[in-house]
Amino acid sequence: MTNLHRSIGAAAVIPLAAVALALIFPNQQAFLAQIAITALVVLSLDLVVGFAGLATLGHAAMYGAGAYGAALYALHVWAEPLTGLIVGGLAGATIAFLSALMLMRAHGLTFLMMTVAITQILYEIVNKSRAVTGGDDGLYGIVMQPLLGVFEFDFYGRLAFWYAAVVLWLVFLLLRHIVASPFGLTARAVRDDGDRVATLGGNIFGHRVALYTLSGAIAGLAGALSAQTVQVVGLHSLSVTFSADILVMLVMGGAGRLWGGLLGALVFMMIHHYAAEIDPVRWMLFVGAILVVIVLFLPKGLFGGLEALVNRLRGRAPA
Amino acid sequence: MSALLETRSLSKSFGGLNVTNNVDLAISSGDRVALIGPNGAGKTTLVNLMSGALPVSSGEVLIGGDTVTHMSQQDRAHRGLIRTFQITRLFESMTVADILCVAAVQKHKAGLKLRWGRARTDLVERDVERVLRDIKMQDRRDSPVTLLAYGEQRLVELGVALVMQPRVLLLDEPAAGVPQSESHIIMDAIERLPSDLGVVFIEHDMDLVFRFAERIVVLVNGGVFATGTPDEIAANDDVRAIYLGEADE
Ligand SMILES: Nc1ncnc2c1ncn2[C@@H]1O[C@H](COP(=O)(O)OP(=O)(O)OP(=O)(O)O)[C@@H](O)[C@H]1O
Ligand SMILES: [Mg+2]
Repeated sequence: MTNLHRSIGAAAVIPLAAVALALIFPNQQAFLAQIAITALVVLSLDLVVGFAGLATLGHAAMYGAGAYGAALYALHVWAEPLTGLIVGGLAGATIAFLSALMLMRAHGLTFLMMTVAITQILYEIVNKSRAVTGGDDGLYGIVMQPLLGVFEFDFYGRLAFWYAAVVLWLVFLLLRHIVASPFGLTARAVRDDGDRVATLGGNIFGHRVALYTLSGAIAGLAGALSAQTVQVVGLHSLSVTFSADILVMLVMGGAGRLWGGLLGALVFMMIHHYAAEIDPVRWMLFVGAILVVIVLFLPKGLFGGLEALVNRLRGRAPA
Repeated sequence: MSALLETRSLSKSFGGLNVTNNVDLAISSGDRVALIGPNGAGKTTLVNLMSGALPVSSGEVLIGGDTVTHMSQQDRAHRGLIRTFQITRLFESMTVADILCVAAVQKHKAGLKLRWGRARTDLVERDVERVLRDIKMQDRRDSPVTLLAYGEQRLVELGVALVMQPRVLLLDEPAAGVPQSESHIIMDAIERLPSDLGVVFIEHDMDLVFRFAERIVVLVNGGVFATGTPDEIAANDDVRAIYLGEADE
């Protein structure tokens, strides 16, 4: 298979998966939209965790900023979806950029604690600014105009799903391109040994800030999609709990490969959905158990395990 | 003309331990200087001070006549000062070509670029291919670096510096850990360096030192103990007593 074939094949995975999911779960499109949006935010987290090698519990700050930004924009300025999406992306990027100026000189545990602190501060600010943000009631009553002026958001979430899936797909293609670019190569080098890159003249701080801001912009897009399709924004979107959830999804799927985040989000959301239906109280135990098994037996996550399996099968029966 | 690299009364102490003592050095274009001294003499520390990896305690570092004492490693690299590490530091998730490519990307200041662009690709590829030829590792191009023998990793460490085409090159024991049978590849690559480059070369193997150096600086307890041509150093009884004698044991 040539590289071109491989890229085209890879690019087709998300559309094909979206069609398959829509056929398998025809009555659950709102849920599928949630999966796509969650996959998008996990994808953005992979830039920080997988590609920059920084463990964070503060990714919700950017997701929440995008969600509140897009919601306020829709409620008070213009309920047009695509400009709202851009507003959400900008909100996420702004929060990421400002916090990166503080965060990106820190490492390890200090970095982790600072991501938590920033998220908590933002959470409290939004909680206390009741007049603007609705406090712990959140923002609701968000009614979007038709997408592209044509497609109405329907009650079943059909449009929501396709809208989210297309954004996810485009961002994924963009990130695949970026990962292979000089920026992406440098990101891997900085993760492996940032100081060494500095000895070659690389601007490590600038690079980290740029990567974090890009990640924040994408998280902001995901937040905006959520606000526009669920039509409600709550404090949970800004919480450390949510940050931890998406980190769990990324680790489950496998960090540093983009695919892992997608797979992790899909599997986590499915388990959540069905396990919570069976046992609404103890489903988290089940997720915890699965996570332990994955961390112990599949250090590269579900995607890494899948890949190893495929390679073994190929090795045994060469095509 | 000012020296490419200069130190003025450069000193460094860790707590109460003086590791660098009033070192005055000047490296000019075309210099081939060997920095020798017993283990723990402060050779690597001196390189760290010159390259900006460590802050100085006192004294000054100048590149091309400009004071860079408080500049970052990154800025010093942009001014043409590149160093290698005594213990190989390579990006462990990468192949040989990728590692050289990282260096080439930094050299062309393209680390923030989101696309290669044709000219960049050409420049970067040319650098990578040139160096792969220099270090005779074309056949290792796509090998993950962690799978290479340590001697080969030393070659890649040198290769990274060669990609950068510096004006001053500080080589911290480039041949350490390389089997005798392969050290000539390293020495050949070093001898092929552009003649206007200033090179400082730390090495314990006296054969390599005498083959390479036009000037030798002997460092003992962090201070310059003697400096001179290889013949002068070889004839210096104090140096023999303190350093060569010890190395012969
Ligand atoms: N970061 C540090 N903190 C404390 N002491 C240090 C530090 N780095 C080096 N030293 C000490 O400084 C002295 C000089 O070390 P350095 O590595 O510069 O010697 P060297 O001449 O390169 O030796 P070798 O030939 O073994 O490489 C040693 O005594 C070492 O223990
Ligand atoms: Mg040393």
